[in-house]
Amino acid sequence: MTSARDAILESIRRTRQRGNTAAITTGKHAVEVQHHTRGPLPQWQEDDSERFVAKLKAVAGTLGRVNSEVEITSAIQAYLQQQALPPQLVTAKSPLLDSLTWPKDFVVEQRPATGDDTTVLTEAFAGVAETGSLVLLSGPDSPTSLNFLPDNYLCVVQRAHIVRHIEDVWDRIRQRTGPMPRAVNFITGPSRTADVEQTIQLGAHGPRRLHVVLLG
Amino acid sequence: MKSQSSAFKTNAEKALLDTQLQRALNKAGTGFIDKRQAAMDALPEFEALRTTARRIKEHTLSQLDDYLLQFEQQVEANGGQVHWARTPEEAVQRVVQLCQAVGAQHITKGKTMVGEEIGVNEALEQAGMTPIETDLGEYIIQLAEEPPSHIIAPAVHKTREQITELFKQHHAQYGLTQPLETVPAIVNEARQVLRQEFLQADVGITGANMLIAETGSTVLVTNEGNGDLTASLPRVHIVIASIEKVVPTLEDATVILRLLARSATGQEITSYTSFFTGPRREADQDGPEAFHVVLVDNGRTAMLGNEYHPMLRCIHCGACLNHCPVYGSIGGHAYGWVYPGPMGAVLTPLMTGLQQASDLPQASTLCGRCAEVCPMAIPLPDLLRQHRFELHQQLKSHWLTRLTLTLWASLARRPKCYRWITNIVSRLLHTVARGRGRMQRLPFASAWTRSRDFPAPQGETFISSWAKQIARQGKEQ
Repeated sequence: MTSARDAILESIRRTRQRGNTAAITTGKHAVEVQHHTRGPLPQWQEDDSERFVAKLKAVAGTLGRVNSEVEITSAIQAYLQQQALPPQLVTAKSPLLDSLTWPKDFVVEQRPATGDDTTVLTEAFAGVAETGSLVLLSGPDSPTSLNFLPDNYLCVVQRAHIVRHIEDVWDRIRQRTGPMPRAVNFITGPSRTADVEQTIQLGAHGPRRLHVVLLG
Repeated sequence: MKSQSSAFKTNAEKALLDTQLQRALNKAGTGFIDKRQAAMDALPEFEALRTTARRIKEHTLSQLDDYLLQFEQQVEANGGQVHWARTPEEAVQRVVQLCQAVGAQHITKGKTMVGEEIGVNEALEQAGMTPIETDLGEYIIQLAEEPPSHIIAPAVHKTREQITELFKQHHAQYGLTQPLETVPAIVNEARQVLRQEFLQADVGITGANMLIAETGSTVLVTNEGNGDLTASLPRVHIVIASIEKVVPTLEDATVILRLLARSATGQEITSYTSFFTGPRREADQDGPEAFHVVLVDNGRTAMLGNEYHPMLRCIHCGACLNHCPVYGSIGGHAYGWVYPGPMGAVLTPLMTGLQQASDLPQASTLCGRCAEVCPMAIPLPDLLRQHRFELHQQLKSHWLTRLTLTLWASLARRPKCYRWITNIVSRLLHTVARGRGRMQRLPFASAWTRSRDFPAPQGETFISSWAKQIARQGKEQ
């Protein structure tokens, strides 16, 4: 009995009027997946980080700017106070996040998120100027659950990590060592739905609020 | 899902008389159209992207076997598994097996149209496992026990009052006592209840907007974040995807992403656009332990290279539905199967049989708006015309329709005769209408005049009045 796999491939090959070229072993097609030709790219005039900020705000994200690492914790403290949120954070790990010194009343834990965590802090692998997106890669230091479970999502973006187009993210991922991370998440604003009478409502299943701390 | 397309005419009539549905459709109005237009106006690169996207898809389809194998190899290299299914039966059987193998008690599900196509919910229910839909629209219609009526807005046919009622009926068990009067209240209630489902799920099932051969990644585009919670929290992530979703590279996927959300909701990018590659890695603290992709053919290889081949470029954005005057009047359910609107009228006959879906290709004015807005430049009206042609050829249309068409065709091939007859008929109808410009009844056309007036000709055909005008101009010179 032919397997479904063979039958499907055979039926595709019949339409191509050619026999089994065993392309997978010849690597014939590999050429096509290795030259990473870009399609047409949207263009804009303004500075990339200003574009990032404008796009972020257009999707209901909020922004705080800091000039140096030492200002990050106070910027976050101010945000939590303003939103009347408790000083409790679950955070990802990164050299930058690990270097932060938190005020004494802060409870900060580094672990995956649970359903009970209200506020999370991560650091983006990149920000995308084109769309105002944050890019998060899953990994031992950045559990994916952090991005989706909490009500309040805080994310530090280093200005130097803002790239122009989505394709620049692919280049940066390829420059890392190792394979694609399990999950690459492009996050653009808080969670939303328009499934009830096309009315946009924030906070569907993911975070209700998304706040970016832009460093630099 | 069992097709009801053969009852299209009756269902369309019911839809037109359904006041709740008409209210919902009116409310939806031109929202999608306006938002898409605004997004297009802000993207001068649209045409160039459309050309490139079309080329990417055509190239991939021309070597579909190679790209699918490359995709499979990459999924496996990253620790995932690929399963191939020729038919809906094979596909659901595999999904059920995968769920049973891990003793799944709780299954969450993201929106998947190919899942609807293969009837995965029904199959899981028969095997004693009830998956919970987590996209709000899908959840609403799961409560209502209805199929989706739109490929990106499954509950677009429901009014807020109907949704309030559904929650009142079904959420009493979760302690809901007051009717949910506002949109935020409805969304919040669903959030609270589904949160528990996400946290306790053993298996998460999602669809895929694209598959990437280069990396073995599956792409998932959502706004709610339900897809990511479904893909990331359970022990097992199963992706159901049809074979034509594959593209060669991340760059190619990016071209299509630039068109997808804009064409669908007018967004530049959805809130969440995620690329999943295999199960959790050794040192990862979360993510599924197993990652499966079920590749579904279900008639697609048969479309390769034939007249309907361009349909395989479809990225399921829903723009053709949003711009279709027929869809806008009757909604999605009247089409009777999974895919409504112009894309559905092309696909349904191909997947469920032309005979029983024969009314769908006819239910179009061929106005061409669908082809105009299609980001993949699919010539939808041509494909609908092709179905009509085949219906005629295979003698599957009504005998009266065939007779009329044959008579008309033979007349149209004799221009002099055609002009002579249309001249007479045109004058005759003008006289019969007695200058009112419309007629309430017309022999042989009662199906038309039953619900609307027939516009009467002005008395002279275009060709004869044009000839007269030319003659007049000749004299004046």
